[in-house]
Amino acid sequence: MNTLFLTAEEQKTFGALPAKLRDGWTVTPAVIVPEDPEELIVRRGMASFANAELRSACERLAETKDSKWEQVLSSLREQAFTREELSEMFFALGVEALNRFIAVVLPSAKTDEDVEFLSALTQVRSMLSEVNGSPA
Amino acid sequence: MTSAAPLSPSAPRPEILSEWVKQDRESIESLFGMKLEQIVELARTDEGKQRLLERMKQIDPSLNGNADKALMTVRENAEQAKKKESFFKKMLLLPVRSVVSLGKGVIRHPILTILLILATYGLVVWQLPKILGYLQALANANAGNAIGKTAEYLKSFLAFSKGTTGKAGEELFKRLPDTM
Repeated sequence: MNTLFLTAEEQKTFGALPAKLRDGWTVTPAVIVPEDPEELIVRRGMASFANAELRSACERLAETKDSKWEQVLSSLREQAFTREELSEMFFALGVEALNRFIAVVLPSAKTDEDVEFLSALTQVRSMLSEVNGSPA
Repeated sequence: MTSAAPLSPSAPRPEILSEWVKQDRESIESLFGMKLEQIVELARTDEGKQRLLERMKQIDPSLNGNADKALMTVRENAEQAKKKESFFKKMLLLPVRSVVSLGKGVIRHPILTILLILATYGLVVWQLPKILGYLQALANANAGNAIGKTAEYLKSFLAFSKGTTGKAGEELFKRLPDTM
């Protein structure tokens, strides 16, 4: 699925990326429906963070000094971020956190992999917005 | 674009009573002795709210002083439990390629990995003041840029949060109702 769901502002940033990077991607306007504070607080209370690898990384992070932050993560595998784990994390964090992550990734995109990552983040944000905008 | 207002320490704290927040459909239904959908439906009318309140007073006879806040929490909890199921079901449809790309992408951006882990597992592993201090340090080191703004947002968000160590999430995929 070569689609990016971007806000008008994000579309401008994406448009400024090299044509080679943008080639092959379809941009669709994003409909953003953020949560209110009560919803996010309840979601946090409902959250379950039980992945041993991520917990271990977090524990090691707690013992690490400033300049070593990134080294702690070197042993962390991408497989730790399972579908279940990502669902749990993004539901608890909400749309605004995804907005912020996208704002970090989008302007610094340099490779096709970066744009694929961006696309995945925007897909998750769209799904979460859709859920937020629907009655329970 | 609609943007959520970041929570700030000076903003009034939303009135959620954490003791009434349960992890999932199963624990909510078990507590109330009724289906989640029925709780959501009852919370929509005055008469229904009264019925819910009566049940809540059976569960916690000392409820009186906080009845309105507790009722609002129960309604929100029930609605979010349904929304969580709905979101997880949508996530099942996310192509494998996108899931892999999320994992790889997070790993390729160490600062995002740190932010993501801190904002989720941090509350399980650390004390809140320490996480807030860590996020503040990240915000200071990246003042004005997108990373700094993300750290600031997560710090304000976490200041109101409460984590759990339960296993509801990993079980949820196995128990999604077929009728959503």
